[in-house]
This record gives sequence, structure tokens and C-alpha cells, in this order.
Amino acid sequence: MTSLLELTGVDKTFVTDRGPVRAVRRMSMTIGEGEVVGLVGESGSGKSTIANLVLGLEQADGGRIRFRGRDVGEWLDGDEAGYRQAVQAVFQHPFQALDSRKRVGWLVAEPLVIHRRGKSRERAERVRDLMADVHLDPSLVNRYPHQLSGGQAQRVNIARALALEPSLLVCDEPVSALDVSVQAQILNLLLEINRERSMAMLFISHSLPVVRHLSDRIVVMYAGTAVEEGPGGEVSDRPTHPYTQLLVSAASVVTGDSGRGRGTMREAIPSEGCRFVPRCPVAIDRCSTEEPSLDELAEGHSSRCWIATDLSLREAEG
Amino acid sequence: MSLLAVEGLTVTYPGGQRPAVKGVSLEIESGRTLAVVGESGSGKTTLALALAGLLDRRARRHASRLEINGEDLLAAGRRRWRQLRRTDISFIFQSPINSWNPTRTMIAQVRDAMSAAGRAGRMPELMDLLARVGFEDPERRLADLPHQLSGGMLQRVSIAVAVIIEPALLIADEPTSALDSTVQSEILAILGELRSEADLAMLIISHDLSVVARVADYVMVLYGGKVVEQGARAAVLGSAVHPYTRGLLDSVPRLDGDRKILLPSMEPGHLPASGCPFAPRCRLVVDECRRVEPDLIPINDTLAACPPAASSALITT
Amino acid sequence: MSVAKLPAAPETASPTRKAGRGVVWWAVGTVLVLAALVLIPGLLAPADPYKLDIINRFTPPHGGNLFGTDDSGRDILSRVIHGARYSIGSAVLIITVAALVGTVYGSLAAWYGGILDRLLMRTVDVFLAFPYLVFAMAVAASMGRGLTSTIVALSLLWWPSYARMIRGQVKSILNDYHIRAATTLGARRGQILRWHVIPHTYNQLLVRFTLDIGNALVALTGLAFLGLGATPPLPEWGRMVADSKQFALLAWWYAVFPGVVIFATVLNFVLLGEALRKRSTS
Repeated sequence: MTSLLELTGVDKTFVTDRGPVRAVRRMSMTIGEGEVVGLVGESGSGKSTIANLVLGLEQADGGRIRFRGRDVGEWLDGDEAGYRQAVQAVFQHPFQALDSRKRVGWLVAEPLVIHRRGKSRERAERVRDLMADVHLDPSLVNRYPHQLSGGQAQRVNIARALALEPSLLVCDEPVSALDVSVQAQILNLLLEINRERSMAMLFISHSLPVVRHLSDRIVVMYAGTAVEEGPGGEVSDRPTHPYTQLLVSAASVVTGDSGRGRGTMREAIPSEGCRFVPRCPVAIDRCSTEEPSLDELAEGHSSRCWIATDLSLREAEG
Repeated sequence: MSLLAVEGLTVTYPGGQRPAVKGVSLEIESGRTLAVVGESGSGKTTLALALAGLLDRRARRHASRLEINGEDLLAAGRRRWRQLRRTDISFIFQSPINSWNPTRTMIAQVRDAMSAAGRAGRMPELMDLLARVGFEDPERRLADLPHQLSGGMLQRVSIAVAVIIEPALLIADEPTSALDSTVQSEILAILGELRSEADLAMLIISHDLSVVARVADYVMVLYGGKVVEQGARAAVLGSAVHPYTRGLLDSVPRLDGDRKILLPSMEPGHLPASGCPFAPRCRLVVDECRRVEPDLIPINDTLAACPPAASSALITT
Repeated sequence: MSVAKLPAAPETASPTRKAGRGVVWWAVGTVLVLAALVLIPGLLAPADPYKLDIINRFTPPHGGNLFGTDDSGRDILSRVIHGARYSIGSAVLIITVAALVGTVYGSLAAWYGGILDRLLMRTVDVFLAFPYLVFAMAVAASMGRGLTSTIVALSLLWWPSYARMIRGQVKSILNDYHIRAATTLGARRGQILRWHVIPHTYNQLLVRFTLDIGNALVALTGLAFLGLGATPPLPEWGRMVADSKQFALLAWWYAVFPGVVIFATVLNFVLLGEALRKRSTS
């Protein structure tokens, strides 16, 4: 698979009132053509910063982000329009992402107008097609956002993102603000889009089951960097990093057994060694002094943990 | 004896075409947790507000019975409700940051809440409890303003204060939906543990079935202001019969489910003026459903308001 | 998956919405009445506002002169009607210039930020610190007395408050989530400003504009009292009140009718502005 997006050793630090916060630390990952990569982690893990960096809404302090082999910064300076057409986004808050003073039809047509696609009649036709693609009733074309349901609003956002036929869709928590039954509809729609258009996606969510459902590959992020990475089924069924194992136990859905997490309470993240040590139930001495690297354990399945091999064996035994 | 007993509760807002809550009856015993499940527009928050006497002045409430601790509250005035909320009913809100005054330190607000409940003497116990639920070094950190603490930390304080004043009834409206999944499970575990220790009755409102699965003894599913299914947790989550409950259960991606397949999803639909509120979205719908509003009837292990489900349940068993 | 069936959102005729419609009619009515007064005073006024009639000076209100006559025997009602052009016209002109200049200036400051923003806003502070009476007198001294110099002075003093308001609004709108969405779609700066920022300032701008027309009328009246502003024989309202003061005991109607008209007009704009504010926040 050729890589479409490639992050290598990306760093991003924010300066806040309470001093600098390293949101992203030497983060590396790739997304291939047509591939859905799920990025999972809790708030503060840096996963949304990754989305903003890829979208050029923030600039990385170090490392490289390359799209089709070319630096994103270079894209934005040289051919911003080209990059915007190729990389589109769906955000978490469906209503806030829409200009409240514009009607649905205008909003869906906006990307076409920005990129001067078609005459106004052709655009109107394209808007109708796009609305049909995301299963929106064409009669909604004259509604304002506040007259829509949450699911409808998110469909409008998706239609806008699809209008330019991008090759990468960045979805930052696209369903977490929606009702359960609506979540399923939106997930189905994204899956359909991926299948029919072989559109690559960076799918960001805090929910492992949601990410697992949609993704070809999963990257687990903790404290600004990837701690585990592998094929979708592998990572969730045979987690090797203690943090992924915590995510799995936190997600024991609807099975009825009340799962108290293994490692639980949140504490300050240390500045050296493995960042997960304070919450880790299996940490050894080495963990607090030396940070492990992201090592491949099996074909395409890597983990940033000194004792991951032992853990995966233990997990396999049940 | 039930700690909270409600019969035929109906709440209507002016201008609303349908009641926000219609004919809801429920009972909770001490030491038990009832989870009310519903999506936006189901009336779940209105129900919670009604049970805490917090309804908007314009809302009209009818009920044939509304008792807490054996006290008839049908005619209770605002003053009585305020008293109850100080000592007998604790309320935990969805957004931890909005439940605290941003301009005052946590400790000042916690002290106020404790003395309003007549429990000022229990501050040392509260500190112990906070430390136990993972709120490290409470004396020092409570000197902070709310925005200096994380959502999970704030919710820990809300819960600890709600429990330490020893209310008879704890109402939690989406207590974890603003939090991350790992923090969420910690908070739910704390909530469950404290609830069983304190032996109080808890009503938890949520749209999230995984939350319900963790803490509830009984589950009640609301749709369009009506109870469509209720029963013991295992029964509702394991063998639900109402098409809406089934739809909710099936539409959540599961860790052990198939990947990259379409999820069974329920199409959106409006709330009809008469008949079963779920009829426009239902796959079992028959003509009868659009005319007659169904009552709860025992089907398999739960009570469900769905006659067609009853007949299909008979056929399949 | 089939095409989702979507219900029509129930159009609820809430009380606030009905009130909102009332405000719109009120605003339209105000604009129509004032437009008529400003544009076609000749058709509305019963007499020539400039025609002297020394014999009938200080005639109390009666059938022929509803508001009575002034010290030169001119019909006060006709003068009030013709005066609308100068009073309200000046107020609208002052505020329009202020709002336009302020909007452009404030948008630029907010958009470019940094040093330019600081420089532009310090200039605004300097203007805001100026006592307006002194400034108006200075302008009158350099341009000569008259309505024009007053309009220039007040416009020069008024735009900074608009610049400051618009800058604050644009800054906060630029942080809105929908701006991020438009940016990722590839919208250029000008498009974002035109489509997604400026339209969101209209509501507050309209409220402020309405309230300020009242304020400008008050300022004009005040300056007229000090001898700044319209010169005789222009029937500007503030001028008329100022002229009447020496005859207050002799002819009460001379002061009262123009005064009541000013008061009613200002009150109308202030109440209308408040109503618009309520409507835009509900």
C-alpha cells in the first residue's frame, strides 16, 4: 500500500498559563490510499491536535507531516487549494461547524463556490446529488442549521466534506455528540463512503469499540504519542500495551459485568520513562527510567512497552 | 417499602403538542438503582427534574402518586422541595464544570453545600472519602477554582458531596457523558460502590447503555415521553423485546462484534400525535399501533409496551 | 440503507416569535414615518416654514396653527415637520458614517491582529478620550459654525465606539468553530470575513445603530443650545428649542412642541433599540 499521509516524529507544544504542554511527542503514523486508520485515546492524549496539524489549523514544532510525499506546510504555501480539495474534515460538533446564518443549500454549495466548480445551475444539481449521497431529504435545502436534528446537521457537514471528492477525510470525534441510534446511522454512512469511494480516513475517537468497528488499522495514543498500533481486530482482541488493555476493559459494553479498570486513577504524567507508569498495573523498575520504543511484536502490530511480549502471552492465555 | 414511588406522572410544557413525560410510574427501593434510558426528546431529563421538584414554573405536572420516604409530595410547595433537595435528594448534573460557581474556590462551595444540608461536621469524613475516590490531597486541591480541576476530578467532588450528606435519593442526570471512557468507568465504579455502602436509592439518567450496564439494578427505557420497556438489568439488556430497545442494543458497536459491516440502524422518525410513539420508526408496526397507545404488558422477562412484540415472542418461544 | 425519511420540524408559534414580529412592524413603521418627514415635508406641512408673519407672532395653538407660531410668526408645526430633515437626517448621517468607518476599521484591526491591531486600537482610545464638546467647538472654530461642522465633529467622535465594538465581535467570531470548518474547506480570508464573520455582526450593529440615532439627536440638541449646530433660519429641532428659551414665559408652546417631538423621537429609538436587542438575543 502506498502511503497517502505520513507523520514522522511530529512534535507540538502549546504554551499555556501554567507553562508549556507537550501535546504531541515524536508521533509517527501512516495512512495508506483508501485506508481507514482509527486514532483512539482519551482527551488530552493529543489525538485532536493530530487532526489540527494534518488540517493545517496548527503548525508542528518538529518532525514532518507529508501528504503524497510533500510537506503539508509546503502544500499550504504552494497549492493551498489543491491540499484543501484533497484533505477534508468532519468535526465533533455538528451544529457549531455550520454557519448558523446560512441555509443548508448554501452550506453544501460553499466548497464548490470556493473552488469555482461549475456554474450555478450545475452547482445546484451537484448539491442535490450530494444531499442524496448522505441520505438527506432534498426538501431540507432551505432550512437553517437550527431547524435540523443533530444527525441531519452532521450529514450536512459530511456532504460539504465530500463535495470536493477528497482522498483523505479527517473525522475528529464525528459521532460522540450524537444520540446512540443516530451514531449508528452516521457510522454506517462513513463506512459506505469509504467502501464506495475508497476514500482514506483518519478516524479519531475516544471509544475503542467505535474505532474498531470502522478501522482497518488502529493507533492507540497516550500522552502525545502512539503506544500501540496494529490491524483493527488485532489491537482490540489481543491488546499488548497495558493502556490498550485498560481501554478494552473500560469498553466491556452491555455485557453486564461491571468492569473496574485494572489501572485506574488519573495522575500527573511523568516527564521521563514510560508516560503510563503511574497508572500501569504491571510496571517494572526499568519503566520509570527508560522510555520504551514502539517495537513490532507481530506482523504490523507494534507496542511501546518493555513487557508487551509477556503481556500478550498472558492475554492469550486468558 | 419503596423509597420513591411515582404513579401516572405526566408533564406538559406550554405549546408542546405532546406531553414531555406521559403516564410514567416507577418505584425505587433503598439500596437499588434504576436507570432511565432515552435519547434526546425522550423526556428523561424532564422526568429527573420532576422528581427533584426542579421543573420550570410553566410546566404542568399531573400524577396520581408522588412519594419520597412515604411523604406525599403531590401538594408540596417550592419551599418543601428546596428543603428536600438540601437534605433528602441529591442531584448530580451532566456537566461538572457548570455545576460549580467559577468564581469561588471549591472548598467554599463544598462547605456551603455541607452546611445547607446540616452536615458541616462531616467535613473530615468528606476529605477521607475524596481521597478514597482518587481525589488526591483534597485539602490542597479544593483550594483551587473549578476550572483548575479536570472534569473527572470535579465529578468526583460532586459525587462525594452528594453521597456524604446521606440523602435518601440520589438523582444523576448523565453523570459521565461529558467524560472520557476510562474516566467514565472509574466514576461509575465509584458511584456504584458508594451507592451500595450508603444504602440510598439512585436514579440514573443516561443515553448510554454501557453506563446502564455498569450500575443499574433495573432499567426503564423511555421513548417520546412514554415508558416502552422496563425490567431487571439482565432482562432488559439480555432479552429485550421492544423493537426500540432492541434497536438501541444492536446499533452500538461492540468489541466482540463484526468489523466494517453496516450496523442495524433505526431510521429517524417524528413523534405521532396518537398511537405508539415509536410506530413511525418501527419494523414490527401494525395498523393497531397507530391507533391505540399500547400499555406495558409482561413479555418474556420484561414489561414492554408492544403487543406485536408479544405475539412474535410467543411464536419464537 | 434507504433514504432517511425526515419529519417536518414543528413550527411552533412561540410567544417570543410573535413579539419579534411586532418589533419588525414597529421598526418598519418608524422608518416609513421618518422617511416621509425627511423626503416630502412639503406635502405634509400645512404652511411654509420660512414665511414670516410679524402680525401673527406668538399665536397660541389653535385650528390654523396647531402648534402655534414663533417669534417671527412662522407656523411651528410646519417648522417641526421640515426640521425632521435636518435633525433626523443629521443624526442618521452621523451614525451611518460612524458605523461604516468603525466596521471597516474594527474588522481590519481584528483580522490582522498583532502590531497593526494595537496601533489601530490605541488611536481609537485617543479619540474616545476626547471631550466631545471641546472637540465640536474646535471644529466649529476651524470650519465655521453650522450644521455641517457639527455633523463632521460628531461623526469624527462617534466612529471609534463602533470600531471597538466590531473589533471585539469579529475577534470572538473568528474563534468560532464554523470558521475552522470554512478554513478547512479552503475559504480565503476575504470570503471568510464576508460570508461568515460580518453577517454575524449585523444584529448587534442594528441595535447599536438604532440606539445611537436617539443619542445623536440628544447630542445635536445639546450643541444647538450652546450655539453650535444649525444656524437660523433652518428649522432644526434643537435650534428651535434653543431659540425659544428667551420667550419661555411669553409663549410656552414655542419650547414645548419641538421639545416634546425631540423627546418622543429619542424615546422611540431607545425603546426600539432595546426591543431589537431583546429579539436578537432570544
